[in-house]
Amino acid sequence: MRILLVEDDALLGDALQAGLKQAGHAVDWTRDGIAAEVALAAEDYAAVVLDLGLPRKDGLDVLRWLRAKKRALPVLVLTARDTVDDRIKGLDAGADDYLVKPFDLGELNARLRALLRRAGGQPAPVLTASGITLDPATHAVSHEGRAVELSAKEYALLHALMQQPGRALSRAQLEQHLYAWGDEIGSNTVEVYIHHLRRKLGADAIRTLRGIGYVMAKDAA
Amino acid sequence: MKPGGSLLLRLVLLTTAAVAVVWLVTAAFTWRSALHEIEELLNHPPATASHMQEDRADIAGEIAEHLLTPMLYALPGLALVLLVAVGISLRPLRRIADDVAARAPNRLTPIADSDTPREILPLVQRLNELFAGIDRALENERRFTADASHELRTPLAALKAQAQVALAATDETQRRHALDQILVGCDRATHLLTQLLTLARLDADSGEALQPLTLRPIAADVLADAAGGAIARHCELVLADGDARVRGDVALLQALLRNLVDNALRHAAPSRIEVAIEQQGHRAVLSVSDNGKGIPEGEIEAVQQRFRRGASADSSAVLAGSAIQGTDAPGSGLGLSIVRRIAELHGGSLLLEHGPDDRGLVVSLHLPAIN
Repeated sequence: MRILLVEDDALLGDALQAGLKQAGHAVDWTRDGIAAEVALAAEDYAAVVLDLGLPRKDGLDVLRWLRAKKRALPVLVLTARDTVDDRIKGLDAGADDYLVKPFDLGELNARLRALLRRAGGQPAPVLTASGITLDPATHAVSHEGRAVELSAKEYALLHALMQQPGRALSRAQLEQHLYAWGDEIGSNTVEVYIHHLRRKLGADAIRTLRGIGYVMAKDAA
Repeated sequence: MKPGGSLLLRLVLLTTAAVAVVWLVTAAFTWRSALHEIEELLNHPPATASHMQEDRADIAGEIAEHLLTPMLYALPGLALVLLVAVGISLRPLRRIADDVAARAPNRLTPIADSDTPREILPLVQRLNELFAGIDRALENERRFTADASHELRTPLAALKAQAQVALAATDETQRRHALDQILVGCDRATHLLTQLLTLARLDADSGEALQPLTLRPIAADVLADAAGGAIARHCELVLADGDARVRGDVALLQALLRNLVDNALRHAAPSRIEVAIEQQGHRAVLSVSDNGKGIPEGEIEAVQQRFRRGASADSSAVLAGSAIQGTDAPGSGLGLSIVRRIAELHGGSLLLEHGPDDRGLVVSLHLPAIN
């Protein structure tokens, strides 16, 4: 998933970027409120991790700006302000979740997974489609009950497709999920990863819709 | 404030009134008994000289008896009256004692001083002054705790997250990087803690121990200390000609100047920092100018505001220090709060301006000059 990280503290931002990458996300890191708005206007993110005390524009103002634009993407707020009043203000401004510093990186990732799950309309923590199961918490993927080894990019691609089975994603959308700023994008990398996934999960797992993109079949309910 | 009269006056009046009543009653009894004896004497005049002698002794005895008897009964009554009177007079004292006894240590509102006798009023007022002083000290303590916990949250979050990244790292480069960052974070938290403690000590200081001193040696000393860091950052340090005398505390003024120079070095990336001391009429001006990044137009007023308002009014203002001149460089952000507090203790004021040609920043401290 592509995540926007907004944190002005160099040390914490560095750690969060590394931690979110370890969890398999593509992470863009901005250090002030204005840069965050520019990034949000330009790119399509799955979620935002937002610090509140930001230079140039406060995190709460960025949040209000985002919600005024009717953007529904999940926002997880990080803050040093820990009074109940602050938490209420943050949630009322449009935050989906709230973590008070110092927090646990594992908890941050778990909450982010929950937010992404809900945003994708998936109530179950483990995603399933076409006989494939994917556990976002452990990154374990299995096909017909047999564990499958995937590279980080292959996993990210499969996760994006399984987030909303039955909904096609274009090559450009999939690239958005896979790459953060500064990552090298090859001209046909999405095709290469799709090819790898089909080899490991069966040729029918992912279908190509010409001119539209890729889709995974939705399991009959 | 409405003082409840004098305690002494009230006691004297009540005692006088009680004695007067007893005296009047006695006088009335004596008058009646004397009248009765005289009547008797007129109706039965003594027959002989020896009888007259006897009668005279009788009459005197009876008058004395009539004088003593009511006094005998009135004295316990008088004692009772005095007991009640003193009790009533001392009631305000008991009210104040109850008020103080019923207090929790953190309830330091002043004792009501209406209806308080004049003799006790100074005591109540001194007590109220003491309460106010303790309340201020407690408030400072609370503010320090709140600021400290707020300020330490971000570095602690960074330390924890870096440690978790290091634990989960799959390659050696990433693990090394995270561990290096943890060391940087520890240094930063230590610096932050030192600054917080300085601020706490300043809050407790009342600025009473100011001595006449010369500013130039202080500036020379601080700049000598800062030279190493400046050379490492390719920055030239200059102490301009000029001097002034003020009433001040050497250690505090050193801390102030050190913070200003440090702030410029850390955040502004200047190639030159100049410290100048001038006497302008009755004012001594100590200024630190740099030719670094400066403060964006429009934000200088906001920063000035933070200087005036200080850290306590808005906890986010504590971060002003790092927000002023970029945030890449590590710094506690408490430097400006410290500078502001030291300026206050010296009865001085701070001014922030853009440097010449809108480059860099000039921070000047204005103090009352002495000869």
